[in-house]
Amino acid sequence: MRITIDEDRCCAAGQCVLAAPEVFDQRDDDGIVVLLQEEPPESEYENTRNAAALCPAAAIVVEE
Amino acid sequence: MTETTTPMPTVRDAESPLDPPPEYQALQEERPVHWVRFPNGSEGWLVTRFDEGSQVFSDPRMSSHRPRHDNPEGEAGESAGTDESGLPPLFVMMDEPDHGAYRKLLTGKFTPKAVAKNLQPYIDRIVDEHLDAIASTSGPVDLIEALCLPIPCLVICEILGVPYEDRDGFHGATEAMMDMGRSREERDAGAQWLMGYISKLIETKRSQPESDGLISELIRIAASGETILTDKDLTGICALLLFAGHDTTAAMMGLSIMTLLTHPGKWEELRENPEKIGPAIEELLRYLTIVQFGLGRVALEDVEIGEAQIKQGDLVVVAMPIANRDPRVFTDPDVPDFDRKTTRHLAFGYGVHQCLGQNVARAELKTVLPKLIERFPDLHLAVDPSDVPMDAFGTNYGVRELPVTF
Repeated sequence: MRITIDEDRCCAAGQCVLAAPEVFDQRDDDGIVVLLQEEPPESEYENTRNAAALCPAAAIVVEE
Repeated sequence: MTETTTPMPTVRDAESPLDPPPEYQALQEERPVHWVRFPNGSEGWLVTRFDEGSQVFSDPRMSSHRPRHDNPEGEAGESAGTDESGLPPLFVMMDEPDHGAYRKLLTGKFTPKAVAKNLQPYIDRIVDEHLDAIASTSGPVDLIEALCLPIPCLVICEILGVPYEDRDGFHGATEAMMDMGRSREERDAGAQWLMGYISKLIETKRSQPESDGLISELIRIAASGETILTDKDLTGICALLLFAGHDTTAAMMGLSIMTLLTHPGKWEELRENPEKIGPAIEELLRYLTIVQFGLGRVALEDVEIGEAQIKQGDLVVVAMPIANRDPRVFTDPDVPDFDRKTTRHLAFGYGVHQCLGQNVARAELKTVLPKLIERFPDLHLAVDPSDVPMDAFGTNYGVRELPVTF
């Protein structure tokens, strides 16, 4: 699994952090997404897929 | 206006006050998007399914600069924002890139991390204090007055730096403004009171440059001259944060407690399995979807959605309460089920305008419900469920009074 994020699309809703806190974080000043792991371990696959599905701005792309 | 156009359903069945109006089901089954007559007499598209609703909210061709659709008959043309009051339009009514530029000034305060660090200890303390006060009575107690309204009011006051002793004023004005059962004059008077109140508060805070809270921070940002935010924007944004930040969560909290008390086994399920609170809150958000008349968008060009040929300039309303009950996405959609695999829903909207304060709302609900259940394990309604007065015309659907014994 490989994740890419689009900071320009991100609206800082925080859904990704709620779904997969090991994989995503948010910048303190404006809440824009920070990718913690570009290639997460298998144990994080389901959370990561959820995060991508929940993202209201379609800012997370997951390639498998 | 043609008399034969289907009206948008707005009246709930008195026997099932937590379900959307019954006419919605047939509309949803028939096709995803219908041409309807809105409560104010204007006409446009109504989206009743989940996927098509998500699509409308995600499509940049759908503008947030929209007229109201949910106000009373004969009042079509009223803006959904504050245009008539002479203030600049609110960013929630703007499209990109302006909307995002304003939103980014605020988002850092509303992330799950910021809420956990800056607000959670405060929420824990005030919830405990309010539960203590309830426990000191012999009941029955109205939980709206004793818990569901004070907690969101205190929290938004803490965030913004608004004096809590002003709550009767700002809550009363918000209630008037959001109640589509009241006259235009009453609603406008509520909005004007709120704008006047916030303007005065901003002036007071200007003279206290060191004061805490988001309002003071925004005043400093505007004064720096380095951002999109001008002094003129401040009143609208601060008023928006104040009214949107408390009435919504109060409504959701009251309805959530009512749901737990009127669906056999749900209260006990959370009492025995407190770890389910996270998914339970998402499910309650889906099931209750308080923005009962939906949210509108305006097509910036011709768009086809759900086989509907939407023309440039058409108003498109997503009926989130029924879209969140779409059987194509949710098995047994009319049953609250805390074990669902998905936590997707449109209760906070979707797309780049999705609710800014959603993580504050989650933190409040996630604190109040478990503490209430733990403190009063045998709590129950003091009246018959059919006698609980509902806020039938509120933009945010809610419970007016929730009398309980414990």
